[in-house]
Amino acid sequence: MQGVVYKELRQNRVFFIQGLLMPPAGIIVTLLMYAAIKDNISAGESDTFMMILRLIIQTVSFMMLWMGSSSVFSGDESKKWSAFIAAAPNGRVRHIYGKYVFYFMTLGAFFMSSVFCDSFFSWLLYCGTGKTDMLSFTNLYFLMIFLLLMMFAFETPFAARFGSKLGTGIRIAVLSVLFLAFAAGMLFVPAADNIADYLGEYLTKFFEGELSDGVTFIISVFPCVAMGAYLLSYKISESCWLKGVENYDK
Amino acid sequence: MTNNPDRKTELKRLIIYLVLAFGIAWLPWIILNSLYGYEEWFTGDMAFPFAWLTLISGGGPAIANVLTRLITKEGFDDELLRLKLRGNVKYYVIAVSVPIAAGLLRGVVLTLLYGDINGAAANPGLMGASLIVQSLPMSLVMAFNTFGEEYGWRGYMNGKLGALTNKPVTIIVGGILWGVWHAPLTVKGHNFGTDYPGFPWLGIVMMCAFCIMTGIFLMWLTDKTGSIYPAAIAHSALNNGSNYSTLAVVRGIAEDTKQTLSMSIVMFSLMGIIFAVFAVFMIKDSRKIVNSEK
Repeated sequence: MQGVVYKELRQNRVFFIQGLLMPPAGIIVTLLMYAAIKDNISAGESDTFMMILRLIIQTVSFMMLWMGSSSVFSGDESKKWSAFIAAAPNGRVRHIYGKYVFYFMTLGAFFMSSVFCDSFFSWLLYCGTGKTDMLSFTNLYFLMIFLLLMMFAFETPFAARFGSKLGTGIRIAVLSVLFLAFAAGMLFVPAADNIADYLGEYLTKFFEGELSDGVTFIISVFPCVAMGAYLLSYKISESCWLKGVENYDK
Repeated sequence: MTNNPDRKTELKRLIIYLVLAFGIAWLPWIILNSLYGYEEWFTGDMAFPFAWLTLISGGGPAIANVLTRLITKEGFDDELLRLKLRGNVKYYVIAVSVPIAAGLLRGVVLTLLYGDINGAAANPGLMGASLIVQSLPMSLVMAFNTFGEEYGWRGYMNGKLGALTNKPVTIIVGGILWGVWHAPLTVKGHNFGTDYPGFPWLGIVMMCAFCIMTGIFLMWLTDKTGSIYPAAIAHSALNNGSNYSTLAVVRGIAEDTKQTLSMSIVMFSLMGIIFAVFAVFMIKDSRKIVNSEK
């Protein structure tokens, strides 16, 4: 096989494999955690507990994928390689193009693996308990994929221009802002023990398609905005990458 | 790997591919139809627990492609796996926009023939707009799923048929094979329900006709770009984006209205007219190649 995308796949295969294997690993962790504490949960709460556990584990998987995305750029931060690829016909364009396509492919593989594993988990639940009413998180995965796309679109021009260390710094800064926003939001919730009910109610409406039309429209538009941001980010990265090469250590 | 395999070799590879593609899909479908019933395992309460098996069986053609190449030592020098965006962006846009536009047109025609233009919209206002907006990203992401079919049908089968016969026969035979591949689901009502004259055989015939028409569009995209991804995106857009856009515009038809035979024929005819345009493009392209060779 040939081409820059194939080169990215070979070079960043660990990241790609991570994207494929994190969902099944999440299932194993969920089952182990559930098995460890199920005796302490009442029968009526076990379904809710299982749903929350799955959600937390999957969110951790998404976060790990997000944190790992810095490797897509850092692997090529070498002046020699950059000079070589820049000298190739359309080298600059193809170098950045390969990274953006590869990242999108990895997100797609992660999405499909998540959907597959979610269904497989539901089948295991059916085999073990006869229940068939496990909630599907496919809609949530769909949105989270585009959230990751948006985050990559935001960080990557900085990584391209100033190096992946700055890209990682921006990621940490964004995480900190999100954490602070969440903490600040908690100040407005009447009581801490209502948060779980509030989130549970909101998530149930999301999964069952009962959100208001306005909120549904905003959620629907977000993936398109993320794709537009991804394309714009590609153009910006392409134009500023060569200047960023000057910042590489060697 | 031989560069120019003879027809006998190509036929052998095609047969192995078809046995695998049909086997990987038909075995679980037939077993599950018998154990649980189609209504239960494909669309009912069991649909989510068995979605993982649906993904594998739906990816049967791609799995068959890979296995056939391994068994027959054909190799994987496959240019079709490259994106080839340069100079082909317009075909990627066509891949997603034609099915979505066809869906919108379908919604209008269904409203005029079976609904009421002044009637209640199935998804009014912002909900309808949400469906249209969702069509594009949904078509792109679900293309990872439809890649499982397209890498088999357009990515392998059409190439083998093309080595054995001419393009029109490739399209017709390929479409029939693709349509028959759906048969275990069609005979249970997946495509056209069960309430039509000639059930289930007419349904299988109609599915073959639909696959022939759709195959023209998908093959045109593959030939134009030399890549399998536009066909995967178009297939996804036909499955998802097109339905979303229909639901966004249809008026005066209740959500639980069952699809009748006449509705199916109307929708087929509409898609047939749209895809006939691409058949004309293919004929023109073939003539250009023949003229340039003279």
